Amino acid sequence: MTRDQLPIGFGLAAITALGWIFLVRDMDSGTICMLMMSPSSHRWSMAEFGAVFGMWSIMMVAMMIPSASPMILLFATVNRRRQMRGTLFVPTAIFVAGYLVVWTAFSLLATLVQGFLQWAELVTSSMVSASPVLTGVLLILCGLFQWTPLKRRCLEGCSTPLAFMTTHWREGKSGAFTMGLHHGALCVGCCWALMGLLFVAGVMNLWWIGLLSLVVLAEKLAPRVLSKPLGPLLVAGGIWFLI
Amino acid sequence: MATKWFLEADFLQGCNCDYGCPCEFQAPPTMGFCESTGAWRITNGMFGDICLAGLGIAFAGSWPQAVHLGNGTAMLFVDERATPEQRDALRLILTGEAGGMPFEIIAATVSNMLPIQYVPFEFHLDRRHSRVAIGESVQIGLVPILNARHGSEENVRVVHSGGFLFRSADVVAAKTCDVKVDGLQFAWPNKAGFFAQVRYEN
Repeated sequence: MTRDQLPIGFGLAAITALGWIFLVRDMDSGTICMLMMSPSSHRWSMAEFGAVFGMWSIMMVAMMIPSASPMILLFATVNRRRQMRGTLFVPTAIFVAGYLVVWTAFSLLATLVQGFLQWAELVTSSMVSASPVLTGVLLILCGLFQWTPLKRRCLEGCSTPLAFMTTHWREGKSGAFTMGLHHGALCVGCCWALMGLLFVAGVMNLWWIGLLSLVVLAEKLAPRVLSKPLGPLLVAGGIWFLI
Repeated sequence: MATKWFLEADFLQGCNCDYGCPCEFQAPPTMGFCESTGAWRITNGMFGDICLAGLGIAFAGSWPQAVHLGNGTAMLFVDERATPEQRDALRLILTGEAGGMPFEIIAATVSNMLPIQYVPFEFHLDRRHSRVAIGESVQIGLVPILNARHGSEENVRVVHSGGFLFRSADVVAAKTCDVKVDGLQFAWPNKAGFFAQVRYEN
């Protein structure tokens, strides 16, 4: 990180830290706990739905902001230079907002899926998979996805800031927001299956969340080393659960 | 609104990575850092109503990690035959101040921009056999990659819609990739090289 990137870098670290603090605190207190005590198959109230949706949204921020930071910092530098030259610039927050809107939409979807899985009693009220079949299917699905062209394209798009910025640059505030959406879409395309694995060891299992965040980050930094080998490993794990 | 510009150019590049340069795709640099130089011979170009055709421009740079992680040191070179107006225009384009890709993004990765040099450019353009001498201090000499068994010349092309400096290029060896200026010194013979025809605009 360069010196003029420090304020943005600090901001991103603070957002991430807040996300993690929330997750840690919510482990032993708050609305999520109430949910955990209720019988799993009961219908969620609006408040419960909101709590789970909120938890997913915050968890996605905590997990994804670190790996998105090289792209965000590069965007920030371009605009900081424009600001210093006195030309039109866009606050980095707009780019980040676009990025997070996509992850929030994903969180809504994840909440609905979790609601369905809990209703079907495939996931317990403590948000862990209750069924070896579900666990196996999630692992195999994620493992196979590692080898698809879609995964490769999304990973290439979201792990190459220089190429993404030079080929998809858009001017202005709405342009920055659109770029954020685009980058977010690439990231979701890349990581949705990995996020599905949260159900395997528990959506509120901090160690598991941490491990998956590290996998996301490592895959972006060294795609050739990690991305494809991870596929067979996950599939093997899935088969082990199924038999 | 910034002045509109466009450039069409023949482009030669050499760097410290192995053939093909992983940085062009989605991997970290071969040795973890980047030392590279590239030169453009403008075949057609305008900055507002200033014509830029026929001039040479170049960069030499060093980045401690992958380029996008920043902290780079770079020097820019502009053809000494450029008039004061052309020099101004090319400076604004190359430093990213005029806006437009890829220069604005690359400039954002440079934290130590050394003073621009106005020097003579000597181009010898012949696709995979192209070379350029930039003043006394920078030389890029491209040759085809040779087949490991027969020693015959390989014809390798890459088409890359998401490339940041070019969309398609001849993948070659940079037999010479020498930079010797105040603040930047390196020589990476027989490493990655590219020859491309490019078009940039803001």
